[in-house]
Amino acid sequence: MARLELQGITKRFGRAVAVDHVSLEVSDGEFLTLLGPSGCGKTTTLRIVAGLIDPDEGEVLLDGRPMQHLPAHRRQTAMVFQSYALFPHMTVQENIGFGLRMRGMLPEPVRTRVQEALALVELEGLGDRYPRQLSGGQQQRVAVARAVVTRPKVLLFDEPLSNLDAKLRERLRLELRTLQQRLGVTTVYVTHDQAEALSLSDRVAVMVGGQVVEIGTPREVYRTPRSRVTAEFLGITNFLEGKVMAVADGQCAVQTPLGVVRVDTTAGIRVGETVTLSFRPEDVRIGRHEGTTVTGRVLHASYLGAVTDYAVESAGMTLRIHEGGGALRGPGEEITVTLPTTAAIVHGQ
Amino acid sequence: MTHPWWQRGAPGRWMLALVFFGLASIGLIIPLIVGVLWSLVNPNVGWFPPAIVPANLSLANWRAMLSVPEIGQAFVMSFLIAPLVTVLCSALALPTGYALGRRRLRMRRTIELLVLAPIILPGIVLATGLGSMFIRLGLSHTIPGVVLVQTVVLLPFMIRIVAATFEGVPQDLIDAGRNLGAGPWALTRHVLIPLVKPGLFAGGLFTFIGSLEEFVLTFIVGMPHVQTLPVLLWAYLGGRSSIFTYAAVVTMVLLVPTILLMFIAERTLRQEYLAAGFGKV
Repeated sequence: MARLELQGITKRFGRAVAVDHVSLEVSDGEFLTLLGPSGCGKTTTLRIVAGLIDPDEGEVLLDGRPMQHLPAHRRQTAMVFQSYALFPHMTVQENIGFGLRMRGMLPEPVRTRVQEALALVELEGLGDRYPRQLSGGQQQRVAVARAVVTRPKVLLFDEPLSNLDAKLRERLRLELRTLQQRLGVTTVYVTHDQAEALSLSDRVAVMVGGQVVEIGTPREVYRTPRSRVTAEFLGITNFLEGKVMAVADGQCAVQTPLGVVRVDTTAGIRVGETVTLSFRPEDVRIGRHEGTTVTGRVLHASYLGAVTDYAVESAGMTLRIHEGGGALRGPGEEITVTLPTTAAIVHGQ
Repeated sequence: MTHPWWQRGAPGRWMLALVFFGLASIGLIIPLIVGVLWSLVNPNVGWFPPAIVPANLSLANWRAMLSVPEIGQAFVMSFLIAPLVTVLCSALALPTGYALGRRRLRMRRTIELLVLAPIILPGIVLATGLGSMFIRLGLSHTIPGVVLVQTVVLLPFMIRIVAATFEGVPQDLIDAGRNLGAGPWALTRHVLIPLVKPGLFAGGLFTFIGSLEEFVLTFIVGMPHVQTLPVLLWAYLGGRSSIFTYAAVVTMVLLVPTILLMFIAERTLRQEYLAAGFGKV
């Protein structure tokens, strides 16, 4: 059992506020990702959990017990660094066994545990190599093995895949998730890569400017973001501002520059208020379908393989549309576009 | 893009290598050969221009010098003091280097300047000042006195090198050590010291050779009881009329162990650096 709690964590560097009253709860065995642009305070938050940075305010609790008085080396957290931070003067085995030796374990059990960890990350037989003799992906696995071998209560990842090439990153992403589920260890993962966050996590916390602006399952934060920054940060999106004309039958009608758009949300919406709608490009369809139809002109089409990315001009606005397969439409072509009723209603700037 | 001639193909590079080798020979190897020749000059015949090589070689100087009891004593003294100075400098430079290299000190520049002060001052000024102080402290003419005074002038170099090495240690490695359960002491022993070992080695070598060569302070503080090889060398080179031949022998006695030491250290050092190579990031 390991439940991690952050209560009002604040950290200032000089006048700049790096982390601004962040409160989070990570339940036992949960995989939580802190997602945000660089400089949003996510790495600082992670380091505060590890005890490598002291917060100015707030409290980190593990299973309800405050950890603030514990120095970094007494917290049972294990971190995987962006640079891997493997000790260059130690072999792979020595690197992995370091945490166990520091806990006073005898050489024989250390060897057994190290072998187990090597097997876990499929690096058997490489124990005698030095980190510099390994490829980037292998170094990354060693870093993971070194972290999990101590059986920490909380695993911390600081952008562990960002130094790998795209293909390897995707494979290791899958492996990481499998490993985490197998070990069932409470995990906090920091990244700026939305695909990584969505595919790995049980829940995603979106951080901007030192604050957690939104937290939810990957589906929630992607499909129904509550704030504009979240919608913007998690992939491409179309924003449409308008005034609510009517709310009835589980739908609301919004008067926008593109005409009246019907949306399947009513929660907390009042007639007469101004709202922003967010459509994902893959939800907007070309042709006449169920939803609100508008006409537009193709400005620009780029073929991306799985989908074609269109920029379509309609009533002075530019819509982004992703269409799978289908015929390639050239610039200047007049088309009909359907806005789905599944748009999210977002707030904020 | 066109490359200048020295980058074009193998011949250009060979030419360049030859030029550098030639310069190195003129600067380093030729004086060495001249030294060896001087030590082998037959005192009865001598070596006068325009002869490029002495007309007659003999081991007379070596025999004469090696029969002087002073040279054996000076040799022992030099190689006793140098390790002591090296150990003392390392012990003092480690914490100072750590503080300068890893801590954000407000007065960092000032502290650095103070650390470097002994090498900014002319040696002779330092020597007279420290000399009179050491007499008052009763440290003159003693081995501890010479060790201390050499430490004063050699420590700045050591601190510079060690501080630079500490600065180069990635913060992530220190954080990783702490995160894996290493307390301050274990972190120093298992992570920091192994990582700065190359710098410590280089600095130690520098200090060792510096101690073997140090003259001004050793002469003023140590004379007449503590006589190292450079002091003896001076006695023969300048103290009496210049006896080049004897001086050359003393030089060789000083030089051969130093070169051997450099050679051994360089081999060890290279392995250390290899081990310290950081992986692909």
